[in-house]
Amino acid sequence: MSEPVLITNNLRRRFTQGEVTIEVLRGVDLGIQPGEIVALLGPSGSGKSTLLQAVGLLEGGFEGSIRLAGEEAGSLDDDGRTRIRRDLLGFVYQFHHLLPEFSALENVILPQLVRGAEPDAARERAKQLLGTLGLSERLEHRPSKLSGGEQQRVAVARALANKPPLVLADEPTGNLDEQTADTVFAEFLNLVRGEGSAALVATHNERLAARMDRVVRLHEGRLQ
Amino acid sequence: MRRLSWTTIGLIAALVLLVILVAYLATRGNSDQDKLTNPRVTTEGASTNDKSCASNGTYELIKRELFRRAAQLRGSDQGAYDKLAAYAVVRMENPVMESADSSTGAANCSGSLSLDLPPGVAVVGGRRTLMADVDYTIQPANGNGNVVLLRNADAIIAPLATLARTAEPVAQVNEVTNEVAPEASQQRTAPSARSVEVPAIPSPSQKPAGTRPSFDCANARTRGETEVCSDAGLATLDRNMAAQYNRSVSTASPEQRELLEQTRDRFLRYRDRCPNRQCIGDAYVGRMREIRDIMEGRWQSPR
Repeated sequence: MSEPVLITNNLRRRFTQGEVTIEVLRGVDLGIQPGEIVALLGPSGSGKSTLLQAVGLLEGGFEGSIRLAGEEAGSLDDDGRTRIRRDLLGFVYQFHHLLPEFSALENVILPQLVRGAEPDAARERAKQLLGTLGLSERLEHRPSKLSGGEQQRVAVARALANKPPLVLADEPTGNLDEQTADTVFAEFLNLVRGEGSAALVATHNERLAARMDRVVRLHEGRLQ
Repeated sequence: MRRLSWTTIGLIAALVLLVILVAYLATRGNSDQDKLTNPRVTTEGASTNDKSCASNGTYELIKRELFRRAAQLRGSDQGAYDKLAAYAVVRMENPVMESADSSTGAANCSGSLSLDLPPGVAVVGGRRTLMADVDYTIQPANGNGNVVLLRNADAIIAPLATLARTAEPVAQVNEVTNEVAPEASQQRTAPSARSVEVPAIPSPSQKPAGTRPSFDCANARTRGETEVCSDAGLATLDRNMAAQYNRSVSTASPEQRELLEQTRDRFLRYRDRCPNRQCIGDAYVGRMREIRDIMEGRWQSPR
């Protein structure tokens, strides 16, 4: 059996405001195998986003262990965390966060160039991904000229551009109407499976969660 | 002779007035007149902090930070990025001090930042100008100058990490390298012959409005706030609405003020449930109409 892409061990996160301390994560143990797509279910405020922030190395202040592709990431310095985010992780947020001044194609090329890809290869890869998502006619459009569903498709393509071992998605279709969300979510799952990436997908939608390989539930700061 | 004397006197008086006016403007510091919300900070150090938001020293720190973080994201070429930073130019439009901390001397500022790259290099798409609405904090570093904390600058940092050489638009090999020029100082006079990506300088119409909402996007939490922060058009609506609201509150009767506050909470809840940009825009337009109706005594409670 190959090494898990993600292992968290006794992951904890507390927020203190004045004299009040809230423990959002109370010892989360989670493992994800390569290629496995895991739904992270929980109501609003249950800590789903906090957990994704932790394993995405986007914030500090956590206790416990986070191993990504075998590397202990929790104690890395800023350079190390940046390297892991660049080389091992892809992110899809509820809002697309595309660069507004760049076309759809350039938004997908960009992370590849940052990682050192050849420009021609990066362009071809971006075209292929966007084509798979039905955006071949929208390559040169800027995000503001795309619909919400198209923007989110571009964000999905960008997240997978570098073939990351693990994709972290926080309510990736939460900003779309139900019909568009269903379509985009199906495309997202197909693409992740097709690329062989693993994914941790936060959602509060049981129906979407049922389409994934495994469901874990976050309740009172612990996984069930 | 008598007419000439009056003319001379008039000229001298005008000159004196002009000198007084110039002296007054020069001692005012950086105006914060764009600010529409948040009470002004009136600490003794506010004037100094105000200036630090818009000083050349601050801009230089911001520029160095942009190049440092771009090199960090790229994972290589830190030295080349450091050298190249010296030849790049940053501009800040509408620098505003958002708040100040008198205990630490820190100033929280915001503005529309532009970075112009020197000839010979460009980022993805051939661009040489990058822009973002940023927030930044200037803080004294234990008597050793200032340090800057830069936020919301990914629209500059991420493309900057793709920096590559370009050459003059002459016949060259079709190759675009992904390396940073090792000797930036040479790029101005001797562009590399290895590459050909011709920079496409953005036209003025491509420039974003640089508009910011009335609130601090670093604290954006709700769906509505996030959308407003990511859309210049919605940000403009938000500023206009906030300005109208503040003007109205300052002249409202107690009853009108209570109504303004009650309806504000309902507006925010509605905005934050909006599924798309159109809905949020409509919500702002409706809210401005509602404020006007309250102030003109024509407001009627919804069913």
